Amino acid sequence: MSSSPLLELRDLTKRFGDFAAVDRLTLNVASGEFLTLLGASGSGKTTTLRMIAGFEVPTAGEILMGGAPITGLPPYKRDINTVFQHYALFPHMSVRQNVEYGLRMRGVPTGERASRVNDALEMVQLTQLGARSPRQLSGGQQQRVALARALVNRPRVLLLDEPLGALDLKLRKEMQLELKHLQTGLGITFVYVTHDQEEALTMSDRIVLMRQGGVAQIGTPRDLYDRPISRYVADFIGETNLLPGTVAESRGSMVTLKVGDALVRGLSDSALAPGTEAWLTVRPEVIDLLDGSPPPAGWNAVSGTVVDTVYAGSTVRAHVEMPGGRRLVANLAPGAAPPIGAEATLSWQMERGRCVAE
Amino acid sequence: MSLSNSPTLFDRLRSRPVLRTALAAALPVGFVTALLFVPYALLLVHSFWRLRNGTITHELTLENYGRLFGTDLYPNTILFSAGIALRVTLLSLLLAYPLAYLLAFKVKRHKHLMYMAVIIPLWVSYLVRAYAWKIILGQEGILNGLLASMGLIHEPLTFLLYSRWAVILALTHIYTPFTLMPIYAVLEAIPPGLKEASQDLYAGRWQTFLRIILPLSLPGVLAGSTFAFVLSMGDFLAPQLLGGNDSALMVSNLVWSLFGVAYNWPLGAAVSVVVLLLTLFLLWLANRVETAMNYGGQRGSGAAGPPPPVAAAAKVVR
Amino acid sequence: MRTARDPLTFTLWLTGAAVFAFIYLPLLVVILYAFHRSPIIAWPLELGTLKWFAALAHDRAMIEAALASLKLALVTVVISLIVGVPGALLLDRFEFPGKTAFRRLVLLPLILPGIITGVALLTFFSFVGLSLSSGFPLVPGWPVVLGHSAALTSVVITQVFARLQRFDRALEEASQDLYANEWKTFWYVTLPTIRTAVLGAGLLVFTLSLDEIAVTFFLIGRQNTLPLHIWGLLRRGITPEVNAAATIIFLVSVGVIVIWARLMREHETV
Repeated sequence: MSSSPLLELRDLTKRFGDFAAVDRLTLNVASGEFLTLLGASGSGKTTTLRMIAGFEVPTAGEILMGGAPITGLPPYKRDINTVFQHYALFPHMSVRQNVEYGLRMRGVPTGERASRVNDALEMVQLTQLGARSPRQLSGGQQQRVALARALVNRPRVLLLDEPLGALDLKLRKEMQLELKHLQTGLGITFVYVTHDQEEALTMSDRIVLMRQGGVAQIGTPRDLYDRPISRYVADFIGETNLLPGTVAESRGSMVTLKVGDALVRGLSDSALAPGTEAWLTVRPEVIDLLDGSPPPAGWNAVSGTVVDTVYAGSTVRAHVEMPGGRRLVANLAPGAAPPIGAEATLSWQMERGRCVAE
Repeated sequence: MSLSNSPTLFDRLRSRPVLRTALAAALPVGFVTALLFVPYALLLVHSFWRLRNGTITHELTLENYGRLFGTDLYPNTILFSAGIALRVTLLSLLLAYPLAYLLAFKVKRHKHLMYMAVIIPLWVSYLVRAYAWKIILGQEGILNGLLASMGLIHEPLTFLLYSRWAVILALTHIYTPFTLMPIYAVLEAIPPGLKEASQDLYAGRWQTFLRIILPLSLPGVLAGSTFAFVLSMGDFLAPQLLGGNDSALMVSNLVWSLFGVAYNWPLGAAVSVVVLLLTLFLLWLANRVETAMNYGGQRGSGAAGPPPPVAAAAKVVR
Repeated sequence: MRTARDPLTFTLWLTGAAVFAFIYLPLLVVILYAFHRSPIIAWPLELGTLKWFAALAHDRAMIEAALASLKLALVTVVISLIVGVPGALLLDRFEFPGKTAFRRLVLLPLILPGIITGVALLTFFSFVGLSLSSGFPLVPGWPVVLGHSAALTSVVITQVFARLQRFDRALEEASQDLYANEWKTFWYVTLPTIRTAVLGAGLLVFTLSLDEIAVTFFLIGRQNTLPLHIWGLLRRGITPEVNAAATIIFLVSVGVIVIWARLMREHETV
């Protein structure tokens, strides 16, 4: 990856009346990276994508590609292509005609067009279906055609608007891997929009978690999973326990949180003053069951009653209710789960939990 | 890569939405204004002008409307036309509904073909269809001949042709397929699950029809009858061909003669304006009724919009 | 499962068949009597001659009227498409003051009695001073052409507009995403997709123009159109030649609607 960003968004804003769908978004996309815009509906991720593509005109802010401003340019003058959510294949053209459309519009000579289209179809494994009409294809096949139609133009950036949303689960998982491999193999910059956090974690080099038109956190999937900087991020990504409490003490990066009557400790990136409301977030898979012996040094321990155990194949999820009503969920090995009603003590390493504000 | 950056016409237009709209609107709006708005407006103006010594002067007056409402002929003709239209509408409904129901629910194979077969007569020349009744109902016509040869009558029935019944019959014949179309469309749109659900809940066929199918079909019934009424009220060909000299004078015939033989354009314009207002009122009324009928979520078609635009268009300009 | 023989269903079928017969019988009568031997149309029917069709072929007045109608219809189709398609696009994509009024105005000729539209146009052309015979040999009088176009543009606008409403805008975005500007997008993507609606509307306008009487009567110059000619015949005297003409009109109409139905049934999943 080169050092200067390929795509820059500076203070990008889009208002609809009083409502700001995207609010002063600043973001850099590196060349060759797989960047995902993740968020709930209404977070502004699709609007941002459409502004990059040129279908929406920003109310304020700039977009630069390779250092040059493209903010005012119409879509057909940008070296960017899009894979649409419902594919938007031209129904009155064959698969082949769809794929060569962009090349035709740019005046690529016939011979070269044909060979590039063939390559593109081969890349998505649809070589035999060139003469078909899009209506005759399955959802998965249509999606590949949409992909080929975009990639055949060798854009500098490929935008993908929740392209896998309409596929069933198994196909979706397959396509996720395929897309990732495609991207790595081609080296094209992908900007991908999805609301599915699992999908984002699987495919991305970096994730931009968006919330209400702004950024909640940017980082690698690992960053967002292991080191969320806010309760929102912790809750959005993966499954987690969230224990609300008040900050009792803050020493360096270790924060002590008073949760009900218990005291737990976790890491924090930001300075949390004593007395502030905060949450401790800890993933179920890092929690162990104590067998009666005291917790090791540097480990939190919390006791409660087992209220539910849910068998999930490779693990058993134990729901433990603390005095005061708070619940913790722990992923335990099957067979290790205590019976419902029993008293249990859960324990985890302090550094595996994080204290976050909203 | 040929992505040029020189400003094109579209670039200039993109930043000026007003100009863009103006350009797009120029031709259609200009045409419609000049050839529809102005003529209708001019008609309105004519209704306020005075006819003096056989020429139309541009003095403003209300005497045309005075004459219109003062002389019995005009209000009576309008009422008469409405009466005819009402009968035509009711008869058409009576005929169209069962056939529509049959097509929608009972015909399994070739449903589309059968529907098209019912619609085809709509496309055949209106004149031909009105003319058909002329030769059927005449004194030496086919019906009389048939009845005579069967020994049922000894003298030709004279009341058949050149009477209001001939007009009603012909108009019913012409507008029944027309009324059928929106009813069929609405019936077709009823999810089959509803019928089954109703029967699952112990309702028999009649009950299901009365309580479920009929109410749901009302928007189509309303649309069909509104158009049948409005168009048959304004019909002029059927009364002309089949109505005889005075037994079935309808409002369009009045306008016809006022602009023709009787040469009184201002008065004719006044009558036209009244008919226009009446028509608009009826459509507005139908619209209101339909809004009131709306079942949550079901899209009302609005009496002035589709039902099938073909339906509206098929009985255009007569 | 109830069989079709239970009384309620049976009555329904009977009624339906009766209505269907009612709709078709008069037409059938007209067609049958086109082959009637006697020049007087009376019962009983004597089939077995084609002389009325032959007479048609030699009837100069009829043929000229038919040609005039055809020319008129073709020019009307062209004009109404040129005005109507942009009109539909305008309604679909633009907002402007007076849009609702424009929409309603466009619908007026479709719902008002044709006479009213006819006399309105008559007052207009007479006011403007355009002679009813003005035109040139190719166009049978500008007033009648413009009159037909004015009345029938509404048909094009409503039909094409309905189609545009179902059109998926994502297709246009995809086209622009693939380097086609607005005009190319319209030409290569939008127009082909709405093509069937445009053609269908054109066919409709053609048929309606051929059959048009009310507006035509007031605006026609020296030439006669086919329906006006036939109407004149009807008032004077009826021979089965009229039936022969009617039969041909019927066949043409059926042909047109079959084509139209095919067009409309094209897969339009967009």
